[in-house]
Amino acid sequence: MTLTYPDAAGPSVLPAAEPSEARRVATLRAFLHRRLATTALVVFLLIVLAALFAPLLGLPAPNVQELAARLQGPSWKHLLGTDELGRDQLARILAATRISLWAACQATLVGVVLGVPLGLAMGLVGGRLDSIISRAFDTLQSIPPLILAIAIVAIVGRSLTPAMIAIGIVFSPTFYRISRAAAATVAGETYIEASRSMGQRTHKIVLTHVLGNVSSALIVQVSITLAFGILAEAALSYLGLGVQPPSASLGSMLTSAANLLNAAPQLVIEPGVVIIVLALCISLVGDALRDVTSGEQVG
Amino acid sequence: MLQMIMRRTLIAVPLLLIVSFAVFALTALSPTDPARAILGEGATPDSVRALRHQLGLDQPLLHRYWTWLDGVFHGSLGRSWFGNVPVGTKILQGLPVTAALVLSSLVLTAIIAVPAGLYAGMRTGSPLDRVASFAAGLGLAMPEFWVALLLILVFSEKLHLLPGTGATSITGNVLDDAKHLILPIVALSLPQICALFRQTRASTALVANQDYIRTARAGGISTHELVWTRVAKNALVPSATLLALQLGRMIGVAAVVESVTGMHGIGSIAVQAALSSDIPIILGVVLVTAAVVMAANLLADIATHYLAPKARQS
Repeated sequence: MTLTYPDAAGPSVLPAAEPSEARRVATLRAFLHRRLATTALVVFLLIVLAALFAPLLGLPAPNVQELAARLQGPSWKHLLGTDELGRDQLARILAATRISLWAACQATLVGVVLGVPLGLAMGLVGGRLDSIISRAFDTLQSIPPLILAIAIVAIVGRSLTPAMIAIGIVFSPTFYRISRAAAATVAGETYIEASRSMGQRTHKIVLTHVLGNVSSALIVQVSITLAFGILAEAALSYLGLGVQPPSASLGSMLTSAANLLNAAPQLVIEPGVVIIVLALCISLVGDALRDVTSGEQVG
Repeated sequence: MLQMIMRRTLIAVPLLLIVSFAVFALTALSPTDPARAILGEGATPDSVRALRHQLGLDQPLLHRYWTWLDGVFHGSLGRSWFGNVPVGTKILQGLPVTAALVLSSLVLTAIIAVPAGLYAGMRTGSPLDRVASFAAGLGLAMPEFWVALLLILVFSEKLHLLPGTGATSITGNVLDDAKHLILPIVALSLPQICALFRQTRASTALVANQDYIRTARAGGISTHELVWTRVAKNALVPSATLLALQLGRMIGVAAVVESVTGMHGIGSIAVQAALSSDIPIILGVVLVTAAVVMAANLLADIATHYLAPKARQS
C-alpha cells in the first residue's frame, strides 16, 4: 500500500487553499438551488433598489405635509395611506429604509475594519501582543451592545452615526475572533511556509491565502451584523437616541406612530413589517451561505 | 473549581477598571459643557465656572477619575448632574424592576427553548423541525419594542385583558406585579427564545450524529432516555454559554422594552440619562451592567465545568 502526500507535489498545491473559480460557481449554484434563500435575496435586493431609487418612483415627497389628508387609509394616491401630518406613508417608509440600511452598513463596516485586520495580524504573529489584544476584545463584550450605544450617545450627543459606530465596536470582537482563528490555523500550514520561502511578503500571503480561507465565515458574520444593525438602529431611533427629525428611519417612524397605536395601528405595523422582512431576508441569505460554504472551508 | 472562581473574580476587577476608565475617558471628548447644559443658555460665565468647580470638572481627567473611583470603593457612584440625586440610589430603585423583568425572561427563555431545541435537534429535517426553524428565524428578526407595541395593542387596547403599562416598581403584590410584567417579559423573551432554540437544536443535531449515539440507538435505547442520559449533557454546553451572553443582551434590550411599556428600570433610567447627557448615571449603569455580565459569564463557565469535564483544563 502506498501513501501519497498531496503536498509532495510542490508549488502546484498552492492555490488549493483558496476557493477556485469552479468552486465558486459550484457554491453559487448550490445557493441558487435553495429556493427560500434565493427568494430572500431577491426580496432584499428589491427593497434596497426601491429605497435607493425612491425619488424616481413618482411618489409624493416624503416630508411634504398635506394636513387635509391626515391618517388616511390606502388609496391610489397614497398606496399605504398617510400619517398624522398627511405625509405619504410609502414614500416615508422608503426614505426611512434607506437611512436604516445605511446605519446597518456603518455598524458592519466599523466591526469589519476594527476586527478583521487586527485579527489576521494577531493570528499570524501570536505571542504576548496577541493575548493582550485578545483580552481587550473580550472585555468589550462584557458591555451589553445597546447599553454601550446608549452611553456613547449620552457622551457625544444624539445622532445616528456615533450610535451605529458603538454598535459596530461591540460587534468587532466576533470579527476579530473569526479572523484570528483562521489566520492562526493557516499560519502553521506548509503552504504558507512554502510561499514565504518563495519570497512572498506577509501581507500578500494574508491577502491571497488567509483571507480566501476566512471569507465565507466573514460573509456569514457580515449578514448577522447587518441584521442586528437594522434592529439596533430601530431600537435606538425609537428611543430618540438615533436619527433626529426631520429625517426619519424605520425606528423613529415608530416613535410617533406609538402615540396613535389605537387610532392608526397600521402606522405601527407597516414600518415594523419592513424591519422584520429586511432582517429576516438578510439572515436567511446568511444561513444559506453558511450551509453552502461550510463544506468548502479548508483548515 | 474554587480556584477558577477565585481567579476569574480577581480578573474581573481590573477588567471593570478598564471598562470604567474607557467610558470616563470618552466623556472628556463630549462636545457639550455639562455645567452650561445644567444652568441653561442664560447662565452667567461666573455661575458656569462656579458649577464646573463644584462638579470637579475643572480638574484634570485622571484626578476626576480617581475621585470617582475613590467614591466607588466607598460605595458611592456619585450624584446625577440633573436633579442632584445619588446615582446609587437611583440604580437601586430601578434594579428590582429590571431584575424581575430580565430574570423572568431568562427563565422563560430557558424552559421553552431548551426542550424545544432538544426535541427538534433529534428530528432534524422533519416537517415540525422545519416549521419551528423558520418560525425561530422569523422571531429573531422581530424588534422587541415593536412586539411590545403590538402586544399592548392586542391585549390591552383591544381585549382589555392586561394593563398597557409595565411595572413601575415591584410592589410585592405577586399577582399585580405579574400582570404588569407579562407583556414586557413576552416581548423581551421572544427573540431570545428563538436564538437559544436555534443554538440548542444545532448542537443537539451535532451530538445526535455522533457514533456513540448511533451505537446506543442500535442497542435499542428509547429516544427519550437517549436524550436525557447521553445527548443533553453534551449538547447543552453551547446553550449555557449562549444563555449567559443573552443575559447581557437582555439587559441592553430591557432599556427599550422598559421605555415602551413605561417601566422604571435601570434601562429606562439609562435612556433618560442619555437624552439629557447625565454622565454620572450613565457611568453607574455601565459599571453595574458590566459587573452583572461578568458574573453571568462566570456562572456559565461553572455550568460548562459541570456539563463538560473536558473543558476543565482550559
